[in-house]
Amino acid sequence: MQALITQRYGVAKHALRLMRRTHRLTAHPRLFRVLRKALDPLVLEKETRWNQGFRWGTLLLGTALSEPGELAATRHIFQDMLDYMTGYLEPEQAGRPVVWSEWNLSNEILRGFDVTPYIPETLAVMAQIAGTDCAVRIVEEAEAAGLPAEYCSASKFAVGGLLLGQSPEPDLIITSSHPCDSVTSVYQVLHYLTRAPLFVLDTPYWDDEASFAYYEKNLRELISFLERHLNQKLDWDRLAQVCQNVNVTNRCLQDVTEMARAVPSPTSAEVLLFHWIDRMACFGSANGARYAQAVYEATQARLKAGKGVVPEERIRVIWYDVPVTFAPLYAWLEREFGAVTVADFIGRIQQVPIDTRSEESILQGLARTHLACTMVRQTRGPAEFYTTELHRIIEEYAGDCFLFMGHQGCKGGWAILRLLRDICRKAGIPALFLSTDIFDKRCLSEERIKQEITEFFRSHNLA
Amino acid sequence: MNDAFPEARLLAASSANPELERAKARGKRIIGYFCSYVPEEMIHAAGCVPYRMRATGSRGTTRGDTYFSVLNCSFVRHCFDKALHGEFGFLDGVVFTNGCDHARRLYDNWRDAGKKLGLGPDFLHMLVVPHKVSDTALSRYEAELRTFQAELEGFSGAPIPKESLAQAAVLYNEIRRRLGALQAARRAVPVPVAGSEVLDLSLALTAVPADRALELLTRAEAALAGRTAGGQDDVRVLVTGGCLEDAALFRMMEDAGASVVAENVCFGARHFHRLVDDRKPPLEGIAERTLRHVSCPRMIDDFETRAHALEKTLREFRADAVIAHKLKFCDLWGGETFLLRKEAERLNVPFLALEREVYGGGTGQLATRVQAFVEQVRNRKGRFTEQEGQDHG
Repeated sequence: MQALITQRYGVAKHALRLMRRTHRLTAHPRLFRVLRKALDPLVLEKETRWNQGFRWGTLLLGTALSEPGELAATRHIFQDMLDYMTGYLEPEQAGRPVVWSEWNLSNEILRGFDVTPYIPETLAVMAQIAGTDCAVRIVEEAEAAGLPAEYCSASKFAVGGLLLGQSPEPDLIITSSHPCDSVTSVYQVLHYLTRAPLFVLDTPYWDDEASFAYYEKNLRELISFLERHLNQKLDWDRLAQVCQNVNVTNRCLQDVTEMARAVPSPTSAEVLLFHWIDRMACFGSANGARYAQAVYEATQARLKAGKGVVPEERIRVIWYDVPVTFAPLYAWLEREFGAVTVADFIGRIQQVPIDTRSEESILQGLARTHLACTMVRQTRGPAEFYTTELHRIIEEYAGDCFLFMGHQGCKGGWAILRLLRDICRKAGIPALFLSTDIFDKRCLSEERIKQEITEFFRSHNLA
Repeated sequence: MNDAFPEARLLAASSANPELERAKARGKRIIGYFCSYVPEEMIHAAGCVPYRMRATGSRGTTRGDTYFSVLNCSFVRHCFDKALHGEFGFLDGVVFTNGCDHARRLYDNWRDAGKKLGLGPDFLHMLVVPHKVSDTALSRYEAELRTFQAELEGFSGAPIPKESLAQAAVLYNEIRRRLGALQAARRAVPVPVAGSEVLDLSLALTAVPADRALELLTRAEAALAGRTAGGQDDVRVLVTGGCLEDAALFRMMEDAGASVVAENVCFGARHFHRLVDDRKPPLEGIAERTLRHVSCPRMIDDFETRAHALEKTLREFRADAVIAHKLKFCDLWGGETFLLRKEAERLNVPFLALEREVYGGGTGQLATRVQAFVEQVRNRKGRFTEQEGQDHG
């Protein structure tokens, strides 16, 4: 592990090797499925030194992604990730400027330029592939440098990666004022440490015409900033194509989101969360659209057949705040309790289509779709942006319980704890609030999380 | 004429005060607001008394914690606790901002408690402040202020004429200018007035009607002549940081042998920085002044300006060291502290970072750290003076 950390791009190169291996396996989905089933007992229990390399594959690919249709579809995402990573691991060869883009900022516009996009927080995902200790080591590097411990761990990964030589040097940085104070703050730190020119998209608070127009103006300024610093013109035709891919992706994944309302659920949040990685790094890619179409078709086929994603669905989970990426909890929940996560905070898609007929309409559509992106739509405004969606989920998804995996960095989410609790209480849904972290196991270990969930299920006669 | 500083200290030591009671008795309505990005002159122009929200005198967070979590900063938890205990009953309205992830949820929780628990007042307004200082952000902020003006007009039942806004801007400019002059007086060695006294005064000025604020300032100015509040050899420190609504921290530094010669804290200099350009239409001038006063780290594109201001202040006030303070769980000031430490290293200025709760907890530890730091800086200063003497000799 130490060698990975100290070697330039060591973590990403290690992740790349393992992803290539998994990518090859996805060409043989039935064989992959058998292999996965055989490996499950070896990886679900706990992380060991020898299983950490392939454990993360299982972590991502829970039951919903283990069906041949979905397994084959994962190939497209792996391909995107390979392209994304090789893009910045060999930037000198490509000779393209590197633009850092904050992880919650939808960065379709970058794809209209000849640049290498890099999303600093994706290192948090790659580090898990090298083992959860590796991830912790990067976070600790940032903390040792003086970053506040209470920062979102994703922000600490961004800085830790830079300090450890795990990230490419940026030529430009783009960020936004969403979804939280950590992002607002850490991009000032990154700008200071790298001295790369910074552009900030200011996220509006309200959902009204003036807010959309303001954000659209921000997007226009972003384009001017990029054109000026890159000495390139935005390729509007390419951007239009990217937006069409976004439309296909969103339409399919929004349908998948809605199909989970059926009992038994033909899918789970895993399918949507798996795409989240692609959304961060390569949103608007043709591969992303292919993945979305494939999982949509597979989900629809199960829905028509009245088939659930797990053989015997016993508990329907509504999962809020963030997923836990250092442990295969979804697969464990399914295997152990027949518990399917039917709705979650991050994976759910609620998007608006982008009209690609003119530059004007593209920007209007991008502004609206950005502001409807996961985390952005819930966190940037008043509490109703959280609670209205939760009300709807409770009414429509027949959830049996509410699990709030409260991320340390989401101070805005923690600040409306009472509101969320009251909604669940009024709806008669048992709720478990855990203080955990999306990427950092030091906050609450996998073992403790499993213990807490087990006790919660038992105490509410759910298991 | 009585020295204003003891009175300011008394006013700063409580949340409600007799001045507010008198204003209410005269039929004035009191509007609380949470952030230096709320232009108090607009509230004044609406015929109300602006009151900067604070948790002074809070007895705990028991009720506040029923809404907020322990991962939220103690300032909002204490404030909301006071609200739930009915200690802000003198308010007729509250203005919130999206200043940070903690404070902006006060707006949500206050409304919820209004519905479920009958918490008043009814007039609750969210003033959205951009996270940038660009021209686009400024015009957006100006539009926000127009909405705010309309809300205030609805609340007060009367339009706010341009002339009233202009007069209010002039009035608050005078307060800011005169307080700025008092702050500037601390360039002298020794300082004529302690940092804790000026912070008390700043706190008092944001808790009383403007006419009383001016009267306090007049008395403070008069008291300044021939006054000293420190020694020649004091370690001169610049304090920067977020929410500081109690001068106890400054007094702790002063007790350790430091003079707080300058500061950039929420309730202090940052609140009063910069004047409204009275050549511009009032709302435009107010928007520009409020958005572009020395910024808080919530402004993502403005660290260079803040760093420049820090360097300039260090030079002008001959500060020997920087002390940064932040509340626990404040990401914004956590990141800023990281950056300020880097800047202090670049400028070769000793730097101390303190983390604290708004009330209680670790006071003894803080005092020890401050004392050790002041001694360290004093030794360093002594070495420099010695070296300078040898060089000149």
